[in-house]
Amino acid sequence: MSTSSSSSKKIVLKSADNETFEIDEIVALESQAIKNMIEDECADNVIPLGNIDSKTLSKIIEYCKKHAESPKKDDNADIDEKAVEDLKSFDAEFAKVDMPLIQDILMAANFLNIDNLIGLMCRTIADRIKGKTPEEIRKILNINKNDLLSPEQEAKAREENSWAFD
Amino acid sequence: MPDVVLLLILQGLPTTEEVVRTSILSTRWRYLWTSIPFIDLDVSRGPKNPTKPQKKRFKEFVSRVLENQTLDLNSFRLRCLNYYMPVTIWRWVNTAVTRKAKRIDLMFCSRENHVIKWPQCLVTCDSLESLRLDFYPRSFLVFPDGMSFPALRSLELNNIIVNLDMVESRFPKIFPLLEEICLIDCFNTYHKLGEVLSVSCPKLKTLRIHQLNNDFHGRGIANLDLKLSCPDLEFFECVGLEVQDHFILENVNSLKKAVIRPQHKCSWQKISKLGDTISKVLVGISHVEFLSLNSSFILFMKAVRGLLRDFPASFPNLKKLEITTTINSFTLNVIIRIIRCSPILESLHLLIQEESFGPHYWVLDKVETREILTRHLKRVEFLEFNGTENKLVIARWLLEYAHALEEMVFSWHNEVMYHEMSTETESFGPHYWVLDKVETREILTRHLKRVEFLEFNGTENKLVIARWLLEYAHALEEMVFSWHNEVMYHEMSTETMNQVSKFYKASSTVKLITLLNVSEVVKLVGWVNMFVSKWVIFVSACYLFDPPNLPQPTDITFQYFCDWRIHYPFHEGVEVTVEMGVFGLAFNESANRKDWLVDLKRLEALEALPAQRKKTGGTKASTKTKLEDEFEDKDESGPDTESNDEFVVHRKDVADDPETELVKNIIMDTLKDDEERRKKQFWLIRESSKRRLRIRLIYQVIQPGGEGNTITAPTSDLHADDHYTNTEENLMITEEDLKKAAIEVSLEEKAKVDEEMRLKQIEEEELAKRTTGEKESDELIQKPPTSPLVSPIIPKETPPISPRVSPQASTKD
Repeated sequence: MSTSSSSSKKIVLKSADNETFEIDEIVALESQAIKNMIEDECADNVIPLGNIDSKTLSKIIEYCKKHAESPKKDDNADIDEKAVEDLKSFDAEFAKVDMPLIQDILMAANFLNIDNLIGLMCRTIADRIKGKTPEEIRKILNINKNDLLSPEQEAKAREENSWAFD
Repeated sequence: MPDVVLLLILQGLPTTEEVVRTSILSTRWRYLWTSIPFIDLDVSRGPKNPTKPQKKRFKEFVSRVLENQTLDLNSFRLRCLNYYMPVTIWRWVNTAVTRKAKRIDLMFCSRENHVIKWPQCLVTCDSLESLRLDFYPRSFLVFPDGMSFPALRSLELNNIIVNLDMVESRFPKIFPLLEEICLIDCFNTYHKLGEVLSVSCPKLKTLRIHQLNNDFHGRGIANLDLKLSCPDLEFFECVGLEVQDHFILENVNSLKKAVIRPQHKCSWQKISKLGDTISKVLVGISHVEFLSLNSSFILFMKAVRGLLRDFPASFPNLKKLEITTTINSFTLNVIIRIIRCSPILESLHLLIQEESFGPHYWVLDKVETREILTRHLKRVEFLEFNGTENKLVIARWLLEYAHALEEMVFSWHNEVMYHEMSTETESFGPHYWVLDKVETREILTRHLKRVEFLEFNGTENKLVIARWLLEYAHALEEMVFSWHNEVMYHEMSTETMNQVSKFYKASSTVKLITLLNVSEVVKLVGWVNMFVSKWVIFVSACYLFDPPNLPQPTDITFQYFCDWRIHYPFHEGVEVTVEMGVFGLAFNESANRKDWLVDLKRLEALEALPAQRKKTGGTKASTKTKLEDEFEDKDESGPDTESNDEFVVHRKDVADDPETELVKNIIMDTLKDDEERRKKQFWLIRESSKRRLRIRLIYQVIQPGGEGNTITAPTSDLHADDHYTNTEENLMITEEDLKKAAIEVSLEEKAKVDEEMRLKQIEEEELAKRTTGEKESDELIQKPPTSPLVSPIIPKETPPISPRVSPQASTKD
């Protein structure tokens, strides 16, 4: 569908806490999942997103809006460098949120299938665990204590790749 | 989180070691790492001089990482010095190849001039898209028959002796898809004089030949006669090449970027024969958009017959031109000639080398010459600046006439020279200009926005200069006094500060700033109280500290700021800028990268401080990205608003930013080994604006031992124009600028390998480009001083950090 016709069409998203967000269809199309729904015509006026709360959803919409506005890379080879820079700094700024929200966004982005956003969040998490001790990483990633390796298992894992643990 | 997502996170970790370390996080993570298709192993990330068992462990690790996995490899990067036999290494490569590696990057050492057989497994690798080989020391590499790389797009060879003659004719067949070739310090065997290396690759887009080391019997690739025939070539870079009779660029019509910086070792006789070659090269590159030339190439142009009368080429598409040049009169003519032939030129960068041939230097008094040269001149850099009269004249001249100029850089590389010349060059600063002529004075001050007194000692003549500048420099926005010598500070402070206060009183458009070392920060409190209203106190407090006395200087400083912010409500417009980079760097004597993170945590804490005051989520906050913390009152133009309680706090997370990381690493690497130097370390973070002209003076400092306690402050004008110009645009540039800074650092390091380089910024004067500058200063002047000054008298005793000291604070309370 062409951009001009779709730009006026609105899509309403409903969060888990029953807050509704009306957005342009072009923005919603950043999500592959919603795009599929629309193409399969199984999207009513309101798309309920029962596993995404409104705080997360509004962040995601902020992201999609920005990325929908920006010229796509494949539009033409001669992309405006400034636009790329602009998007980059937007992303950097966007990722400056606390860890729980990042994880929420990541899960939601995964559910909505927004590739760029998944990538951005994963890079952000990777940057935050870079150079940290296992203990710190567990804390950052909120790894359940019950899932830890037994001391024997851990010793074995360390032994197997002793170079990496020196 | 699903495994796919966890794997994406894992992929973001830079090294395989780190990826593997996640195997002990939890049962779920135990074998996740085995699904990562990127391998990056480097033995040098381990212990410095590994023992035998350690080497063995690395070997086991490589094998394990390679064999433990069943999926196809995206990339395999291995650096293993000289610890392993080639046969072992090839076995690993073989495994990588069987796993259909797309990118292979190998660096290892062998014996000098050792013959390395191109491993059979690589010869017909049909998955390989990118191959990089780096041998050290230089080794022979033998290409076997029947090799083919059907998918290879990028090939880079470093320090390798090959027999290219054998393959050149088969090039398209061996590398049918090749798009990029880089040959760095490569050599050609069996090459006979006068033979031509002809590169003809149908798909080639990038060709880079670098020859920095040329000691192999003149057989460097760049010594060959060269013939290019690559219809798709877009980027051609040729550095250190010795121009031979044949240097033929034919059928390179797609060329967009050309960097031609040949070496100059030719005799005049030889140069005189190069005329035809050079004119043909010029024709060959005539449709480029970006062109970079060095002084040797310009020199070679001398041989072109009728060069100045009928220039052999025109550059209809040239947008950006970069020229390294000497300042003898011939080069000027050539440059002018090139510019004349470039109708759509947008940007000209000049790098001015040490002059090699006198006695005629650039004479820039003809209006026409002047106009042509300066119309697009954006950047000038004086390399190995030595403060000689010739260059000063040119600098002065360019400052006066180059309206498009954005940046002027003076670099010192020679310490002795610096010491000898700095005094004189200092007089290139205020003293010289000020006291001489009215005309000079006007030129200097018209756009002078920032003055810094380095190692300010409160002497009368400097005070005179300061006073003078305050009187005449109408565009001045900021004046910085840096103290470095504590004793001197104690002796002179009261008197000088009083003086400076008077200046402050006298000039309502100037921010006065002091740079003090850490132990002086406390004293600053007394200071700060004087600067009510909208002036900036810029504290860069940790250039110099003494760990025994001040074990955690940043603790003190941060504590100080925290306290200060709690106890002293800000007055309208007072802005405190903490220079993040400096803090981070000076933070801890262990110079460990982790300290940066600690640092950041602390900043986060700081940020969270008075939550009720913090204005969050405003557009202003989200658009600003700066490398330093910044606390500022919201409303600086409305003097009477009661908005003291609203803060905008914005911070750029240093650790999250790869460019910053890069700069950091460079600094860390430079400084980590040397305790003494670290004390004297400094870093500068510059902010640039496209609309401003910067003059930076860079020199390399090696302080004589006894004077260990003096250090020049970094000066970064991070905040100077924030209030007056379009903030967003101003601030967005920081990242780029850091990148630039990083490059500068690395280049200079390269240039002076044996001497440890440190950069020091001794002076930064900022002048706005004329139009914007004038506008800004107009605005400034029109803006009336908004609040009366508190008495500028310096307290005899430095007040402690306490709410009681501040009259403002007490009124608030």
